[in-house]
Amino acid sequence: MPVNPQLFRSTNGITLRREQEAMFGYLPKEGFAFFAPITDFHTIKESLLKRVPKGLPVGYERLINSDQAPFPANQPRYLGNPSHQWETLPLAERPLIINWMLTRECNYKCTYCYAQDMMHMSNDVTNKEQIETIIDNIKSYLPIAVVVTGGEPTLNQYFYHTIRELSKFTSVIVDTNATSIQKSHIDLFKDNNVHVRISIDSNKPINNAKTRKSIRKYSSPVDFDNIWNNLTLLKEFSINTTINTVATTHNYDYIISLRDSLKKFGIEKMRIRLAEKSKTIANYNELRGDDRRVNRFITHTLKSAPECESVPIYLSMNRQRNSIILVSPSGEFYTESYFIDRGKILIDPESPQRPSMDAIRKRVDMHAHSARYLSL
Amino acid sequence: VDDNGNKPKLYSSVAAELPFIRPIYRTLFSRRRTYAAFDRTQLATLLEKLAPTGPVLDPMSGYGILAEVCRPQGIATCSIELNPPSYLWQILLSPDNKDGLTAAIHALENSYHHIKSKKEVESSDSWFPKESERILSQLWEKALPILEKSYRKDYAEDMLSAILLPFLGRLSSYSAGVINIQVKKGGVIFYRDWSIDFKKYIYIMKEQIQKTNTQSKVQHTILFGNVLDDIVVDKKFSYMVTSPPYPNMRDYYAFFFPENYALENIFRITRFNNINIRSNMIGGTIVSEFKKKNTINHDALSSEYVKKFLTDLRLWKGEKHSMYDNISYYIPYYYSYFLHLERAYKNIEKMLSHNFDCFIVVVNNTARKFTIPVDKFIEETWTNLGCQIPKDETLTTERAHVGSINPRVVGFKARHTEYAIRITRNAS
Repeated sequence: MPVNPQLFRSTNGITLRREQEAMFGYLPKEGFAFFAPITDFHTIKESLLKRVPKGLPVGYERLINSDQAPFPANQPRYLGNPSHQWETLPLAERPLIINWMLTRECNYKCTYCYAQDMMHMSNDVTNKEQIETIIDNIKSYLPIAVVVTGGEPTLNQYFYHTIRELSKFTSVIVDTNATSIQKSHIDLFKDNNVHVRISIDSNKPINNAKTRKSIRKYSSPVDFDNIWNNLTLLKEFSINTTINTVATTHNYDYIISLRDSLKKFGIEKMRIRLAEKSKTIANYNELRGDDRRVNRFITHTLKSAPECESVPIYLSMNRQRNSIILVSPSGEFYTESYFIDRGKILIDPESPQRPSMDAIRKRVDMHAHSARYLSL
Repeated sequence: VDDNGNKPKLYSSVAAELPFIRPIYRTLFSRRRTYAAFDRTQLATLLEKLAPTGPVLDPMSGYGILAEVCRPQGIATCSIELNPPSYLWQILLSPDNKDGLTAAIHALENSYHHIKSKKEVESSDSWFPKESERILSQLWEKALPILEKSYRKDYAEDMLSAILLPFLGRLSSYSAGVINIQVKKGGVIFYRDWSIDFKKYIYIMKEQIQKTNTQSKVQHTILFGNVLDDIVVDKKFSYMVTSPPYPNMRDYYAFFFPENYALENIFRITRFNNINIRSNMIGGTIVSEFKKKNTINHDALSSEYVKKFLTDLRLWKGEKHSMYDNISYYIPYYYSYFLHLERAYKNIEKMLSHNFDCFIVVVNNTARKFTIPVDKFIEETWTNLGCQIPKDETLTTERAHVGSINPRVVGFKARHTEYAIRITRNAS
């Protein structure tokens, strides 16, 4: 039975597999743990050998279950000695995952868009050299995976080039709305072992449209059926695909039926996030609903999740705000400020395009960063 | 044959073999019931006490469990049902329709090959995407004329829709509700392999129908009818076993929203279109007509218990929103429930002969801190109609609450009492 995240305990240590985030990890009782991205299960071993930044210590957090709903307490978590304290959380010494907002262009205007404020702050790069520079900067941190997001990354003219270059040194995850996926994209994903995350909020067009509004200026009107057609295409070519759903009051009651629809399509991975608070989201409270509503949704979702073994639901909880590293379309490194009204802040104002590790450790909560990407 | 020497039940394996049909039909195929219906052992006990020598009437027959229990015992039955999918379910399971159903399957087998889906996938905000409506209406239009060559129109329509109904979930863009019998409009349909699924479904149904035993000599009549209107029967009945709908805001019509939509709008069966079924269903949730001011008239009710219950509910003091809910919804709901039920019983009485013996099984639900007096209401109504109610305490049983919305409910609200009320009339 596929449980997500998958956790295998043995006398020597723990193996974890977190499909939605395309992660694989091995935590031995003695010595250093290994952590590696997966884009294809058959090549886990190869991927381990090739891409593991050596000596990355990791730990784990307790599994979220219905007793802990709605949120596991946000207590401070410290790195312990991996050989003794298994319940402690890790501290990654370098960024694990970097989110690169490749473009500010998008054919959707989602009401909960997390990146909206950043889209106003910077412009897309206009030549290939600039893209190369950003790739070099990202490469210097040796991240385990880079999430290419946006905007809608497939609308960017350098999308193909970016994916090819990034996949030379790291694993690539693409966040897309799947409206403009073509055969050439499929080939690109296949050749570079890309993990594709598709944003769908509901299987009901009207509900989807409430939060994900399409912008008409783009040549073809965004057709909801088109997304599902592309989904079948991805499935047909065995591209590793996860559905990304943002849970809001508009779709709380439809998450389970969306999962049922995905099951019919043979999509086996689904990742749900509650809408993240951001400076530019005006109606956040309306989107999230009151605590009672959120609790009811989480309890119900977790309660019914085991019913459908083939599409396990991974419910991602809001964590420390400054736990992420974002690269803007023009190449500056940002993180979310701890204080909501300050929005996104530059990690290193002195060297915005290539922040020093000290600046990263200062501005980014690395415990929370590790927890965000490694925790169970 | 299993370890105990029992033959496997017909249709019991269908649910496992057809994962694409709606959960409610999967439950029906495996359990033959979904919600608040009397169980078979209880029914057998009642029939033993009743010892009928003529046909037994069930005017609110639901999924037709009475006919199913009576058939092996050689007791004739007459079932009346208003909800079209429930009525068609009875048609599907009745061995009397073996020939008609087999003919319908042949007609469908000859028709579905010619229908190709033009789309791979379609999403919709209604019960069926346009492509599904096209497929289903073509299937209907091709198969119905074949059947009409050998059968009269309404019988042909019944057979064809009875076969098609459990499959509709495959082509319906419904979304699952909070509990599995609930459905909501809107969703995505994947058309690839729909014809393979249909072929499989047809094959399994054909196999099951061929296994049905048609040895029974007694007559089992299934009628589509509304007991709120007068129903004329050829011969009056001397026996009746029935159970009124459970008053807990369950909309039996809504359980089958996609199916009812298809019957009315895609297959366009005139009989199901002519009456407003949903508002005629006793215990249905549509009570808007009683929400207006001065529409609740206590004089229209004859039961003193019901009047007292409605007054108690109105005077009940609790949280502000709960009191508002009482006035705006619960009182109109219970008023309409009892008003309709009384009208129905008066009509049913006309179908019974001068001397009759019957059982009405009822489970009393609770509302706020009051018991909904369905049992008292039944006793009062039938006494007013000139009947006797012999007391039999052995027929009263305490039941635990089996609600699926709030299974943690305890205390008064969890204590439900089931009554089997015997009603007799001896005119001599």
